[in-house]
This record gives sequence, C-alpha cells and structure tokens, in this order.
Amino acid sequence: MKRKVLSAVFKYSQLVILIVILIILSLTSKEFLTWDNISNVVMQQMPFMLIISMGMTLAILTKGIDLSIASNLALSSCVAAYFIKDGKVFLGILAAVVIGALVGAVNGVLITKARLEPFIATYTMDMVVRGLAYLFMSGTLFYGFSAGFCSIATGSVGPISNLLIISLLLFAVLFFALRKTTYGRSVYAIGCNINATRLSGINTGGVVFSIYVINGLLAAVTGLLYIARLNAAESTIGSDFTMQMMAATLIGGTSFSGGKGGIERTLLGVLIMVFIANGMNLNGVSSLLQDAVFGVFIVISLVIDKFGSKYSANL
Amino acid sequence: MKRALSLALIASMVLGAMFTGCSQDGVAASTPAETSSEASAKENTGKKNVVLILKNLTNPMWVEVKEGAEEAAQKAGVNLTTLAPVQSENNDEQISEIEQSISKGVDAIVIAPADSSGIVPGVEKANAANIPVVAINTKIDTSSGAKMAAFVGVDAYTCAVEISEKLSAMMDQTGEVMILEGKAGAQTSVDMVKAANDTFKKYSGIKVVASQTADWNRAKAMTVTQNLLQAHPNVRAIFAANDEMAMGAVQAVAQAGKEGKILISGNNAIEDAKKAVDNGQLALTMDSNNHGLGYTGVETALKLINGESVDEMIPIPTTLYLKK
Amino acid sequence: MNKVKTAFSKLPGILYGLIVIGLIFSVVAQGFFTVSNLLDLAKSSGLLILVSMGMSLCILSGYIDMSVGALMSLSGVVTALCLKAGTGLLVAVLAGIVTGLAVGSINGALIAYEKFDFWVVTYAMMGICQGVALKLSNGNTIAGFKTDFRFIGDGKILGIYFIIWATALLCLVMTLLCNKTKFGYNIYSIGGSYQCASLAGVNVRKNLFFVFVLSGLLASLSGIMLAAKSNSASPIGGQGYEFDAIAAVLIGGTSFEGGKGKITGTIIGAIMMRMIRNGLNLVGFSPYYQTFLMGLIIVAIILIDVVNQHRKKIQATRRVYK
Repeated sequence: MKRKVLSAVFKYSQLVILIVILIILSLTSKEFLTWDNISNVVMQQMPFMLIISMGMTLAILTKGIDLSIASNLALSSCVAAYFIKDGKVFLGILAAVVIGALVGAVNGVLITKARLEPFIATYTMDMVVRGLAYLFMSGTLFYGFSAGFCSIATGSVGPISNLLIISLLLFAVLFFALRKTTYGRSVYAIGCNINATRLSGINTGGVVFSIYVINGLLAAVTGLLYIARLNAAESTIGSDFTMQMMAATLIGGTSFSGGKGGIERTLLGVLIMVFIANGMNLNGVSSLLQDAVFGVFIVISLVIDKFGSKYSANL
Repeated sequence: MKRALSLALIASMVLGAMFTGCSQDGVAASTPAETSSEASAKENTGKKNVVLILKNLTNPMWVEVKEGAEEAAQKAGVNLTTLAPVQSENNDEQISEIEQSISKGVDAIVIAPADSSGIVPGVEKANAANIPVVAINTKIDTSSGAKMAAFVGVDAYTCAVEISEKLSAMMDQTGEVMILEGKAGAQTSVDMVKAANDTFKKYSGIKVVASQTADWNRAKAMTVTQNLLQAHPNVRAIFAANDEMAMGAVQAVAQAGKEGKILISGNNAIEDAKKAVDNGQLALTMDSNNHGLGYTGVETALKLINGESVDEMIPIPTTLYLKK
Repeated sequence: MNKVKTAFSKLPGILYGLIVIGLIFSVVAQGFFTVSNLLDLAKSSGLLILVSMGMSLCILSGYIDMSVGALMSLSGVVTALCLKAGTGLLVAVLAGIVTGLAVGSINGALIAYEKFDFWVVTYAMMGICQGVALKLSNGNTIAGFKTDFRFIGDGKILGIYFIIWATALLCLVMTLLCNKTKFGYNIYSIGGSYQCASLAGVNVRKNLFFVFVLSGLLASLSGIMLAAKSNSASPIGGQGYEFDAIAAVLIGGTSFEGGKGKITGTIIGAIMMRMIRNGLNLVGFSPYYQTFLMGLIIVAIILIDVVNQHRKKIQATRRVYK
C-alpha cells in the first residue's frame, strides 16, 4: 500500500509540488487562499500562459522547439488591432488567424522542407516576425477597442471567465488529439525517433508542419485575447514570454529530448508558475530575487523527479 | 560554380533588402534621401551630421522624442540619424553605436543614456574625437572626466517628486499606496522609485504597502497589480513609474471592480494615457514634453557645432497632465 | 593547383559568406571599412566569440548551456564588487573567474555525473545566477572603475585592443583543444554517440564535466571583459547572450545532433552576427529594420549552407556509385 501511494506520488510529482506550493503560500499570506485570489490567478492569469505553453509543448514533443510564438503573437495581434480599432472586428480576427497560421507555415516549411534545425528556424523567424511587428507599428500603439470585442476577454459565463473557458476548450481539443487519436500518437512517435516513424509509413513531414501551424494559430488566439484584455496593442508584447513558456514546459516535466510528457503536464507547470508569481507578489518578495526563486523551484522539481524515478525503478 | 551562384544570391538579397530600406520614406530612421553614396557627397558639400541615440524605439515616448529631433534637424537643414539598441536599454549597444558614429564621422551626438556611468567609455571616445555630446533625459556621469557638453531635460527624480506630491495631495495625504517599478536596475526606475519613497515618507498618513517591478511592461503590470490588489484590497493609490505600467494597472483595477476608487499615476503622457486621464480612469500623468526634448536636444547640438556657447543644464518644461 | 583547391574546400563555407557580407558593407556602409570601426567590431565580437566557443563545445557533445548569459552578468558583478571593495585587480578578476568555474562545475556535476536533464539544470542555473547577480548588486549597475581594470576593456597594445589579443589567443587555444587533443576527439565522439563513446573506453562523464566547466570559464571571462569595456557591471548585462551564442554556433555549421561541426565555424558565425549588426547600424537602419533584416540574413546564410551540404552529399554519393 505504502509503495503504491509513494510511486503514484512520484509519478505525478508536479501535482505534489503544486499542492505543496499552495499549502506554503496559504500559510505565509492570509489573502492567498481566498476565492478572489485563487479565481484571479486561475481565471485571469493562467489562460494566456496555458494556451501558448501548449504550443511550445507540442513543438518540444516532436523534439523541436518554437521560439517564434511570442513574436507571432505580437504581429498577429497588432495587425488585428489595426482593423479592430476602426470597428472591423471580424476582419481583425481573420487577419490574426491568417497571419498566425502563415508564420507557423513558414516555420513548418523551413523545418520540414529546408531541413533546418527547429531552433535556428524559429529563432530567425522570431527575429523576422518581431521586426515586422516593429515596422508595422513604428513605435505607436493601437488602443480603444469596442466594448464588444473587449468582452471576449473580460467577460464571463456565470462565475467562470471567458478566458478560462476558451483556454480549457483548446486544452481539451489538443488533449484529445494528442492522447486519443493516431495523429497524437504520431506526434509522440516522431519525438522518440523520427526516422523510425517515417519508415513505418507516417507522413512525418506533414505532422511536424501541422504542429507549427497549430502553434501559430495558438499564438494568434492568445494575441487576440491579450489585446482584448489590455484594450491596447503594441509591438513589444510578449518579449519575455518565450522563457516563461519553456519554463512551464520544463517544470511540467515534458522532456526536451522529445517523445515524453504532454500538455496535461504543462498545465501543471503553468499553474505552478502563476501561483509562484502570485505568491511572490503577495508576500512582497523583492523584485531582485524573483528570478532566483523560479530557478530554485525548477531545481526542486528536478530533484523530486529524479528521486521519484529512482525510487519507482527500485520498487 | 554553384557556390558562386549561391553567394551571388546572398549578395543580391542583402543588397535588395538594403535598397528597399533606403528608399522607404519615413520608416527608416535616417532622413529619406540618405543612401550612403549621397551621404558621402554631402560630406563634401559640408552638410552637418548629427546622430541621436535613444534608449529604444519601441516605447511611444521615444518615438515622440525622435519626431521632435527630426523637426529641428529639418529646420536647420542637417542630417539626423536615429539609432537605438535593439535590446531595450542595452548599454553595450549604445556604446557600440557611439563608436560606429565616430567611425562614420558625425559632428555631434545627442544621447539618452540607458546607464549614466556605463556610457562613459563611449562618451570618452567622443570627447577624444572632439565631438560634442549632448545628453537628454538622463545625465552622463562626469565624475571621472567624461565631458557632457549640455544636459537637456528634467531628471527623473525631480519629475517623480512632482508626480508623487500631486498624488499625495489627491489622496489627502492619507492611505495606502503601491509602487510599480520599472525594469530592475534601470537608472530611471531607480531614481523615480527613490523619489516616490522619499515623498511618501514625508506624510505620516501615507503608507507604502508594496513595491514590485513590472518591467515597464503593460501586460506584466496588469498581472502584478491583480496580485497586489489581493494582498492589499484597501489600497488608495498606485504610483507607476511609466504610463505603460499605469495603463496595465488601470485594466487590473477595472477588472477588480475598483474603477474610480483607486488613484493611479503614470509618467510620459503617451496618447492613450492622456485619454485615460480625460475620462477619469487615470488620475494623472506627466507630460514630459518628449517632442520638445528631442527638438531642444538637436537644437543645442547644432549650436555647439556652430561654436556657440550653451547652458550646461537646459531644463525642459514639463507639466502634470490632469483632468480638465 | 589541386592542393590549393582542396585547402580552400576545407575552409568553412561560412567564411565566404562573411567575406561577401563584409565586402557589401564596405561599399554601402559609410565608415565600415575604417580601421577604427573594424577594431571596434573585433572588440565587440570578442565577447560573443568567447561565449560561443564554450557553447560550441556543449553543442558538439550534444548538450546546451543556457546559463552562460546570466553567468556573464554574475561574473561581471562579482569582479566589480571586489574592485569596489578595494581588492586588487588580480584578486577581483580571479574572483570572477572562480565564479565561472564554480557555476560550470555545478552544471557539470549535475549533468554529467548526476545525469539530470541539461535543459532543466542550465535553465535553473540561469535563473539562480541572474537572481544572485541582481541581489548582490541590489539591482544597480556598479560603475566607475580605475584605469587598470578599464585597460582590459579599452586598452590597446600595439594599436590593437587588449580584448582582441585575448580573444585571439583563446580562439587559438580552443581550436587546438578541439582539433588536436584527445579531449577534443572525445567531445566529438560523445556528441556522435554517448553510448558508443562510453563503450569505446572514453570517460564520458569526466569529459562532459569539463565541457561545462570550460563553458562557465569562457562565460565568466566574457563577463569580466564586458564590465571592463562598459566601465560598469550590469546585473543584466549578459541577457540574451545565450541565444546569440547558440545562433552563432548553428550558423557556423554545427548541428544540434552533436558530433558535427567545427569551432572555427562558430568563431566566424559570431563575427558575422556582430558584423551584420554593425553594418546595418552604419547604413542607418532603424532598429525596426535591423531585427527583421538580421533574421532574414541569418536564414539566408543557413539555407545556403544547407543547400551546399545537400549538394556535397549528393556529389559524394555519385562518386561512390560511379
């Protein structure tokens, strides 16, 4: 019995870490465990990070990486805002989706057809797309969107925010696709061994291409949600997101060597990160130490993971 | 053979990209007619060259500064090149930009240093090349011998004192206040936060309950403010070191249903912040006269080129932007 | 003639790209082909070259070190604090170097010996180093050093910057290390296949440990020079270097798979990245255009390299089947 419990604990170590964090934070700050605070974190802050981190996870599952999600988010949202500020909401949303998918497609082509390393392909695309965003905006910002558009991000259905609904819907769709369809299986297989997968008849090029297009779409959606939430669009948005997406995936336990992990793990990773950030603000942790705190948490999750696998291996 | 072909490809790509850039009006930072062949021609005809180095070109504030500078340059018939670090407020890039300007041959440098002391090696080089250096918005540390021909602007500390005094007055000198800091380590942020703390300390009824960084960033400020409002639900005012963060805080306050109950102050008077002040969402911001800053900076540089003497400290009138 | 031809074909293809771009800039960018600019360019490239060489070792072995940027900042801060506290130049520089060695050793121990995932370890170290740098410096830039330290950054010997001499020396050392020593061969074999190298009798863990120690050492040297060059140690001075270094390595022709590529390619890749930035600035492109163009140019270079490799492969196959 004890062994069963312990092995389960170590298998879902991220969940344990999350619970531990929640307990610690509720002890150190009396405002933490309130409905207001928890709902604020889960319903207002988590959704943004979740959607794009899922994209990063998809790329990492295929033993790749996507460093261009943040700038894709910026460009698609800025172009969308150009139309939305004049009231053409539908056109704006369409523009965002098209651009997001287009950038993703370029990534896909560079990686599958030109055989570039995902790192360098998405790194350079990140520069190109960010540059395009800068050029498009030329230092200005668009603001003042219609209340109808903003309510996509600020509104809620009952007690649940639209943001949470949208992000969980996307999560459900992707989760189903990854875990229950052959498409999902091939994603994992590609991450394990792309050559073997290709030789067994799966169109690896097509699957990888689709992953990056999906990332682009996820970036566009998040971009739209951001400009609706902030009621403003600027070219600099998201410049710190790439690191956060990587951290969420890492903490969640998806391996960067591909083929292991999943977006359900990333969900835990995102939750851990937003709660840590929330806790640091609540407890007034000095701005200087915040990077270090994240680093320490990553190390802790590593250690627990390591001991966990060692322990369950010895059972 | 194929290798030569592929090289020709890169070459034509690069050249093509450059000339597209050069012929774009108003988007490339150098005045539209400046391709390098023409520039060297101008060298011979004696048209003066001034370079403007800013902290970045992605914050609307600096774009306004650039526009003011370009106006002054155009009026005087002078070439203006605007440079800025790609990574916002990167000191090393600014030093490189000074060095490159010296190699290229400029007559004056107008710079908003990201780091007052860090920029010194670049300034010393300019001094050695007899190129006058005018600092705008942030001073250059002259304690070790670097020469700053003039400083144009009001320093961040003084601005922040004025803002926080007005905020304190609007709060009737009582209540809790939160501070949203800029990027950790940025000179302007350090100065402004210090000024705010010094001012609030004067009033016994005011208590600073939180001071966290939001990296000058709108989205981050929204998240940080959301969190801080949880910890301090009774806060009366928020002092944000710039308008970007203030606008993020505005969104967070609205989402928490506390619109109108919390006084928020910003700085820089960017367009949407001014609108927010007009309709009551933002309590006040500081019109740092960005356009005037750029204009006077270049104007001063031109005076120096022509051998006129200028004041060492040239304050730019700044005004609080309040609801009418 | 054939000997000359084979010698030329051994040079990394990227070198041609560098020369072409250099020539283009000499024509269109006023001030590019001046002694002062080339010296400045070499000086600023030096910082990136050092970090990239360390990164090159990691990538050749099949790993990555994400902590180098933050380590640069930390080493600079440590050295600066020592100088401010009144210790001599030598002690301060040693302190910075020791910081690099220490962090590198921790990385190496955790990754090589404890077999933790390298992404997670180096990513976490990045956060920790950054946090420590911020805390030690209290978020401020530490500025204002005496001439003896500043000499490291701005001093000239025989008309050439000290940084250039130091970097050139280190380049030579690292190139010899990679190509002529057993350590170098071991790295390539580990990168080729961890298991095969281990079975072949290579002490994989020890070699890997040293790879990370070297990466840390080079990062700290770069950080100290950065502080000297800017007369100030910023706790965020090294931010972004890790990505630039990886890009330089990849542009230089090293593959992420490990075991393929040359360190000379990395050096050229690093120079190229700085050269493009330098040239674009001189032409007068706004930062808006620069980001975009940098990306395009790098993509073009890599694509051409890929095409070349592909072509070579096909030629080689044709030769075999003739």
